[in-house]
This record gives sequence, C-alpha cells and structure tokens, in this order.
Amino acid sequence: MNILKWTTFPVLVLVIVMAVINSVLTPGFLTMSSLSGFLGSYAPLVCAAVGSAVVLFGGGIDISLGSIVCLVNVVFITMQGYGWNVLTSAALAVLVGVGVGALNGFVIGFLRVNPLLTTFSTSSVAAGVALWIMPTPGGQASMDFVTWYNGNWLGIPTPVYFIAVVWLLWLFLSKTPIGIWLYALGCDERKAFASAISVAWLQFFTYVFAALATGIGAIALTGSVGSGDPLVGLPISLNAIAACVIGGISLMGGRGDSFGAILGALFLGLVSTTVLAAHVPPFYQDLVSGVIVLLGVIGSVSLSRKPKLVS
Amino acid sequence: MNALECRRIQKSFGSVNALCDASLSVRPGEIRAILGGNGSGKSTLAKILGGVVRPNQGEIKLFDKTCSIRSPRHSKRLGIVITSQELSLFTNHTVETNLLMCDIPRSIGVFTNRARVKHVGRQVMDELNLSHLIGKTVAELAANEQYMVEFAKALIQKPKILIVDEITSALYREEVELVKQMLFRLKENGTAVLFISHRMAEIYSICDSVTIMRNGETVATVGIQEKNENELLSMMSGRDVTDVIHSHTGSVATADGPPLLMAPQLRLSRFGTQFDFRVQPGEFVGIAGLQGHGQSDLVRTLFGMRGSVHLKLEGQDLHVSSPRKAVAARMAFISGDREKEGVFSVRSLSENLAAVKELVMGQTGLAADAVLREQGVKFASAKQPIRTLSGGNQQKVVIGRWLVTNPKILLADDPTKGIDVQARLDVHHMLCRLIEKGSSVVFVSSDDEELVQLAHMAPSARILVMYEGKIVRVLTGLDITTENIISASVPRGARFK
Repeated sequence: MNILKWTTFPVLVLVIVMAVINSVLTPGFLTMSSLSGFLGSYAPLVCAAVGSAVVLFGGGIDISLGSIVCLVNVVFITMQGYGWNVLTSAALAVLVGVGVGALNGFVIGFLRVNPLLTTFSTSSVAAGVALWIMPTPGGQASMDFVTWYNGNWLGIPTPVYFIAVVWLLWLFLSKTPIGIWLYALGCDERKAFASAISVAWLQFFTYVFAALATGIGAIALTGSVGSGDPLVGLPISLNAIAACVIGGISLMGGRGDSFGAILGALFLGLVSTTVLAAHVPPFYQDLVSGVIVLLGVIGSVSLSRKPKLVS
Repeated sequence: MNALECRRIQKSFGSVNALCDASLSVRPGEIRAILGGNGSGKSTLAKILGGVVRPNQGEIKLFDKTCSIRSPRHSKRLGIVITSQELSLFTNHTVETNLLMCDIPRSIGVFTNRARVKHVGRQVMDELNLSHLIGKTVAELAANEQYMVEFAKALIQKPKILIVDEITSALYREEVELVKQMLFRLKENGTAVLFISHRMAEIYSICDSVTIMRNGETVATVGIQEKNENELLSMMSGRDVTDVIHSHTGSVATADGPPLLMAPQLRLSRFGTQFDFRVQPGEFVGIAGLQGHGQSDLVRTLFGMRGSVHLKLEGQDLHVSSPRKAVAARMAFISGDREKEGVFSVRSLSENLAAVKELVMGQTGLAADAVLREQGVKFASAKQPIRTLSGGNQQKVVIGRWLVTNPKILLADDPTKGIDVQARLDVHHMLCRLIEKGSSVVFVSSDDEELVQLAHMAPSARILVMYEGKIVRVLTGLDITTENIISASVPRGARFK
C-alpha cells in the first residue's frame, strides 16, 4: 500500500510530532504513569471519536455525542447515589445513552430528517434531561471504581480497555458486510438504496453505535472526574468530529478509517497537554490550542488527496 | 409463457406524464430493444421495474404471476437486474467489492469472505478480459472500464430479467462485442433482456425485436427484420426523418479573414503537446478522434479549466485563468456530463437557466418561460426542479443557460452524449441558430456522423482530428466525411510519431 495514500498517515505524523514536543517540554511525559494519566483524561474523547467516525463513514453527522456523555454521566452517578452497584448503574446509564442514539437513528433513518438538525435538537433534549436529573454538579462515584479506572488492570492502564472495547467492537462489525454497506452508503445514498442496501436500518445502526461508543466513553469520563456534572461532556460534541477530520475521515462520507479517529483524538489531547505544559497563560490557552489544531487540520488535509477545483 | 408482461403502466410526476400507457411482453430468452426519444418513458419504465419508482396504475406480471414491485430489494429478489448509464458503482470500493455488493459472500455466516469476493469477481472479469482491474478502486478506472464493471455486476447477479440501459454508448467496439456475446449466453439460459440503446447498428446485431416508445406510450412492437432504420426512426419521432438527416449535403466553405479566437502554442498538459489553434467568426469547428486523445482537454484548456492559458480574442490579448474569466470574455462551455457539470439538479428550471447570466454576469430580467419554449423544452412550469425532466430536456436547459449569455464562442464537450435522436436534432438546430448569429462553435463529439451532419449544416466548417494530444488532420469542404475522420483517427505505422 502506498503510505501517502493512507488517510491515517498525516495524523500519525502529527501525533508523533506532538508527542516529541511534549516529551521535550515535560521530561518524563513518556513514562508509564504520565501516559496512563493522559489516557485516563482522553479515553472518553477517543471512544466518542470512534462513534462519530462510524456515523461519518455512512455520510451522516452526529453533534449530540457531548450531551450523551453528560446524560450518561449524571445517570451513572445518580444510580450509584441510590445505592446501585457500579456494573448495573453503568449498564443502565449506557442504555439510556443508546436510547438517545436510537432516537437519532429513527428520526434520521426512517423519518428522513436532516442529521445535523436532528442531532442538534436531540442534543438539547439530552442535555436538558441531564440538567433536570442533576441541576448542579455533585455526587460521588464509588471510590473502588475511580481507583480502578485510574490505575492498572492486568498490568495495562485501565482506560486502554475502554478504548479497546469500543474499537474492537467496530473492527468486528467492519469485517461483516455492514462495513462494506456503510462505506457504500457514505459514497452515494441513492445508489445504496438502488443496490438493495437497507439504507434506513444502516443509518439507524450508525447512530446507535455512536451512542454506545460514547456511552462507554462517558463511563470512562466518570472514572476520570469521579463525580457528576450535567455540563461535563459538552465540548466532546465538536471535538469528536474534529478528531475524525484530523484523522483523515471525510465529512462527505465514505472515506477514512477508525484508527484515524483514535489518533485524531489523541492529537487533540496532546495539543491541550502541550499548551498546559508550556505554561501558556489561561486566557490564551484556547487561542493557542485553536491555532495548533487549525494547522493540524490544514496539514492533515493537504497531505491527503483533496477534491480540486482545477482538474 | 412470458418472462415479463407490463400492462397499461401509468406514472406521472406532478403534472408531467412520464408514462401514460406502456404495455409490453417479453418471452424468456428474448432480447428486446426499447427505442424512444427522450421523455418517451424508457427510463421511467426501467426504474419502475427496478423498484425505484412506483407506478400510479397498471399491472406487472413476471412469469405469469402478478407482482407489485415494492423496492429495489424486492425487485432484485424477483430476479430483475438493471445496468444503467447512471452507474450503480461506489467509487470508494474496489472493483470486486462492487461486483458482489448485492450478495456479499460470508464466512461462518457473519464475516465478509474477502477471498471469495475476489475469487468470484475474478471469474466474471476473466470472461470479460478485465481481470487486471481486480483490486483497483472504481475511482481509478476509465469511464469505459466502469461501464464494463457495471455490466459484470449485473451478470454476477444471474438475472432472470436484465435491463441494459444505454451502457454501450460509452464503450469501445470490442467491448460492445463482448457485451453482445454475454447477452447471447444469457439468452441461451432463458434470460429476458430489455436493451435500451440509441445505436441502430447494435440494435440490429443484438436484438430479436424492438418496442418503440413515444411520449410515454408503447407505440408498436415489431420483429427486428421487419423494419429498416429509417422506418424505426420515423415511428419513434412520429414523422419522416429520412430527409432531416440527409438534407444538408451541399458543399462546405472555409472562412477566411481575421480569426475570432487564436490560441498560439496551446499546451495540453496531460499530453505535453503544443499546437496553434484558431477559430474564425461564424465557424463550426468539430473535434474528432478516438475517445481520450485530448479532444476534451482541448476545449477545457481553452475555458480555463486546466490552469492559466493565453488567448487572443478578436485581436485582444486575453489571459484565461479560470472559467469565470472565460465567461467574462463571453465564452461558453457545455459539458456532456450533465450530472456533474451541467444541471443543479434540485433547483428549478428558471434558476438553472439563469445560473450564468444572473449570478455570474449580473444581468437580470430573463424571461424563463419564453426561453424554455423557444428551446423546445418539454416542461410544466419554470419552477419545477430540473431533475423532473428527461435527460435530453435537461441538456436543452443547460444549453439555453449559455445561449442567453450571447456567447461569442461556444465550447461543447460531447454535449449530446446519451440523448436521443430527436433531442439531438433540436440541439443541433440550437447551435446552428447561434452560428447564424455570427458566433462560433467548437464541438467535441464521439460520434463522427454527428460532426459530419453539423459541419454540413453550418455555413463554414472544419473538422480537426486528434490523436495522442495532437491535431493530426484538418478536414475541410467535401473532405468532411465519416470515412475520412475514421481513417485519420486510427493512424497507421509511425506516421505521427
């Protein structure tokens, strides 16, 4: 395979560059404990980015993932507050998140409403429900769970398992015909319909999968912050999409792979870490990281083939 | 027993009747040509059988059983397969994945069996001498190769009823021969074939019978030996066409005097070739040659689509660095690829018509209805979206868009590709009226006969024959014949090296 044609190649270069800059700014960044902390903070974004990627492959877009994170987080914490055990409350919380995804998928796939509009609305609904359940930040996750998440399990940092579960789930699905149909759908919806592909069900599936991946990410996020906050996940909505674009996934659908989304999310994490490590005054942190991300997107897009106006 | 029987099928889109009374029956093993002008309802009939469009009325019987085809999925289950000029291929997938898209083989019932996909794909492509395409993505293929893959995809589905919608118009002669052999093999196995084409020679060599459609009705069905070409064309257009095609056989002049457009040392970047190019005022310049020898590059370079180019228009120096600059210099460009470069499919007729004049040139006050009527477009309202029109009518609107800008020079890249004889004649008349007003036309065509007809309709004309990015022959006057074009297109020995 020609490495320059590989859509993930540019973001791989970016991640390596940022990792090198980070280890120069913060000696010891590449140690196990530091990396483990880094993964702990960004595993939620990585999970959501993989979910977002699957929606983008099929030519859709989902901007409700951040709200799903908020909802899953507050449900998870609230259930634990009622004395449910971690596993049951996590499963129920993820199920609630999947419910939002199913709503997205039903409205977009079967009622044929525009995805941007649909997920914008459901994003407000989910965030609203989260605020209703928990009007102010609070609650406490089980200490056992928080310790487990922030430590190692079987010798590997626990956040890696969250990423692995989501990614392997997608890799499994992508080896079935769904993988082929999804890229076909992203390439041309009408042709997909005419080729006897179940367009509506496939779209339904992508939004459900995105919500599931994001829900798993939200459990990770709760392990990282240790409490409930109805606004905690909102930045993830657009960061997950940005991670995909940096990872070489086309917003037009049908192009890119999930590994790119993972690397894109790690790149965004590395940028934030770098800005902190470089002691940029808080007022300028957004500006600096914004400029770096913009350069990253430009670099990533110009390295891969792009649609040209002059042919 | 009939493989397929359609009785009194009726379909309207809004107030436009696409089909008002279509009836036909085809036996197993019969190859039936469907011949009709644009807007005659052929494509709509094909789409109804494919399950993409639902009829308002009428009955469809497959092997003597009444069916209502609910969806493309249902249609495929019934054994109906369509290969269409609007390809069903996904450009981001490989050839073999596309071939098996409708029935992906699995291992242990769950996973895609990639090895089997490749194996089955290679078997079919071997029969078509195209196994070297296995492993490439469709985006990497040339147009004719894509059409062959589309055809192979249909074969792999083992159709009981196969509808071939105009795929041969993009194929080379040897490929058409292969398609023909494959169709004959299907015929032996009892497949019924509906063959939609405008090429008479193919219809006569491939089909057993022909159904003629006009204005949404099936006018007649006859055995292929019963009627000659002119009789079929007359039935199709509802009037005698013999004299229309051969009426202009007078001598053809070449224009002298100062040129309208000069392109000194015009460079075709894809071929790395250079030559001088000029167009006289009121002249028809036909560009001929085998497909892909730089004809398209020539007109696109002139229109600024291949980067900056230096021209002289009416003696004035002109740098054309983009189509926008070319439009400002009153040049016009019509592409044969309506879908990609012609229509804004969800916008209305009047918006499509005004796209250049109002939006680019900033001139308002276009009487859309009057222009549409003048161009002979079949339409209900100027506000209807352009995609509700048939292909030929869409192309007339696109041409109208440029004619209302009063271009000094019109560049056309195979604009009549895939449109029927009647719409084609209408387009020719539109161009002739433009030439009569003193404008010039540079016209690329893959149909040599079309170039000869147009050359004889224009007051002054030249035909340039291209080969490997160079102009290898200039035909003028009585030398403009299809025989001369063909002989110049296929060079012998090292004459042009």
